[in-house]
Amino acid sequence: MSDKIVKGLNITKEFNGVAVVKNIDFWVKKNQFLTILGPSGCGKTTTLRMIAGFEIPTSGKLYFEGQEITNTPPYLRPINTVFQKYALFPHMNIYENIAFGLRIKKLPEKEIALKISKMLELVNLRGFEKRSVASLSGGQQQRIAIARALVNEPKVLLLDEPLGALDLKLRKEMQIELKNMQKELGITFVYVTHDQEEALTMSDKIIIMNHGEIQQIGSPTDIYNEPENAFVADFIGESNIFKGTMVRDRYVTFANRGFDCVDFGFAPNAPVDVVIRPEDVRLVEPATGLLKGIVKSVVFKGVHYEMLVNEGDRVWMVHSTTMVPEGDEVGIWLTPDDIHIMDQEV
Amino acid sequence: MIKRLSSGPYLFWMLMFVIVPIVMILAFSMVTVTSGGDWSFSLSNFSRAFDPIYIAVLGRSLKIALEATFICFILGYPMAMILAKMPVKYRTFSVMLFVVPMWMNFLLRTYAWMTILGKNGIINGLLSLLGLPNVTFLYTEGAVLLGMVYNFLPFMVLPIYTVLMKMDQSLVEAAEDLGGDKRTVFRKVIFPLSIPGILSGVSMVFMPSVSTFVISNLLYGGQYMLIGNLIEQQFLVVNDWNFGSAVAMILMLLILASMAIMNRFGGGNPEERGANLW
Repeated sequence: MSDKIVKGLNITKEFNGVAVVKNIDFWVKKNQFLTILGPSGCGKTTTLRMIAGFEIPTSGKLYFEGQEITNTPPYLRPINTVFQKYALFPHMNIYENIAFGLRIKKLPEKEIALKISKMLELVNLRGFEKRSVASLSGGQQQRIAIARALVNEPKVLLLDEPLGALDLKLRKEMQIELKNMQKELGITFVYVTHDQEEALTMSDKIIIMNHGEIQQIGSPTDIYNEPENAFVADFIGESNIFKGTMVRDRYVTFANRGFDCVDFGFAPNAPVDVVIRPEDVRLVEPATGLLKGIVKSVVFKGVHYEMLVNEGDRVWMVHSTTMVPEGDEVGIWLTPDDIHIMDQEV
Repeated sequence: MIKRLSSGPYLFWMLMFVIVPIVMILAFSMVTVTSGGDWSFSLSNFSRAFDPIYIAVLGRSLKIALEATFICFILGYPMAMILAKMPVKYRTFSVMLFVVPMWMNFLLRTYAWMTILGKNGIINGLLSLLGLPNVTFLYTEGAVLLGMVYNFLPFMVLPIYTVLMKMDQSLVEAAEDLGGDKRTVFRKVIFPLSIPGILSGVSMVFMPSVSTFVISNLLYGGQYMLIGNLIEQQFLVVNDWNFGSAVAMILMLLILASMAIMNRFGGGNPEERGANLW
């Protein structure tokens, strides 16, 4: 028995002949918090809708606990969804909304009432049974949508950008609450978002998609520290990306000089992308730096300063807690660990 | 101030063409004219309207109007669903097919049915061609019913179609997601959410059906068939405007009452029902 609860093999989805999802393979492990992350139009929502059963893949196969469900209609899948705009039934009160799935299963009314009050407790909305959907705020509607899905005790919960419409503070709170719920209930979550910070905070595993293809699958730390290509590096937080040449193992040239680095296994003199995180760049005295530049702009970001440094014909983004005034000459210092080498995107 | 002034034309219109006529009809209905030509206030026009002959006319009007509304609903709801589910490129065209007959004159359309249903009409022509005996279609209650359904069906289809089109598709998906098969989803989500459309469809078919006199004149003949005919006769033939006005007032109250009952039926959250008439 494999612990892969949902598995997709060679999944492709076309709309009117245009491929939105291109031959992807993925799996979700039991009790995992998996996030599908990508810019809008990358195919992440389509992938989620195929898992839910709202879209049928053009080709490829989908498995649930080892059984094929490629063509199974949504109502027969033990999977529930939290929709982007909540999709609460406006003609029912909160109680009836949450009871919807349980009534279809023909549970006795007593049990329904019990489950609903437990669920409302879980989402911190005790006493809301008789309220109408329209009388709830966005955040409350979101909680009800989660309760309505969770009350059915699905094996997998799908969430389609569920926090997109909430303000920043509420979103942060809900991120923590969702993560706690997932841990407590031991339900597999598949979460779709375009917010890389949300993905890094909540996920056990992240799938990064772009143009219908998977760019990288890995844990948040892996993806942040070891992005596989420049797209991932750029998408998952800000990056300096420069063209370079991998002269030999652990030695790269860019910005008109050579640097020691930790990557190896590239063809000699292969053209590569050199990725450096803004927070890894250290600004030092011009004389001690590996490179020299002039500070072009300084923006205070709260936790740190964001500085743009002109060096040769390149612009470096630097995050630092100490500020260097605009117009000053600075030295740029890097250690081999700070330099990430990636195959150039074709 | 400007706001108030700009509502002036509207208020004037309402006053001249809604309030004044209703008050006039009300006044006419409460007056009797003696043989000497003197006017006096009396409610005798109303008591006369409760004569069994007229009650029968009223009853028949209500019955046929309800039947026509019901048939329009039974035919119209599935049609609206089919239209709403059509791929966009056929949809506009199909909706237009529904609307095009309404561009033609109402009388003309009803006359057309006379030539189809008549004794020597198209259907009977076909029947005799097949060697079957002729059937009387025209001048029956069924012909009137057909005329009503034919003329008023679009008024049922369009509001239901609009509601179904506007319906948030994610609600349907949510219902499927929560375990509802197609029938359950229809019963518990699609149908209840389409009630505002049904209510306006029902009003828009019932009201003209209960008050029409043209359809019954043409497809049933000249008798006092429906309450609309009765009113028409009082005004144009008998020249008793006072009694005609009394019957018109009764009809108005009747429609008002039936709309009120229907909206009570609609129930639910008043904010959710936008599309009905009040």
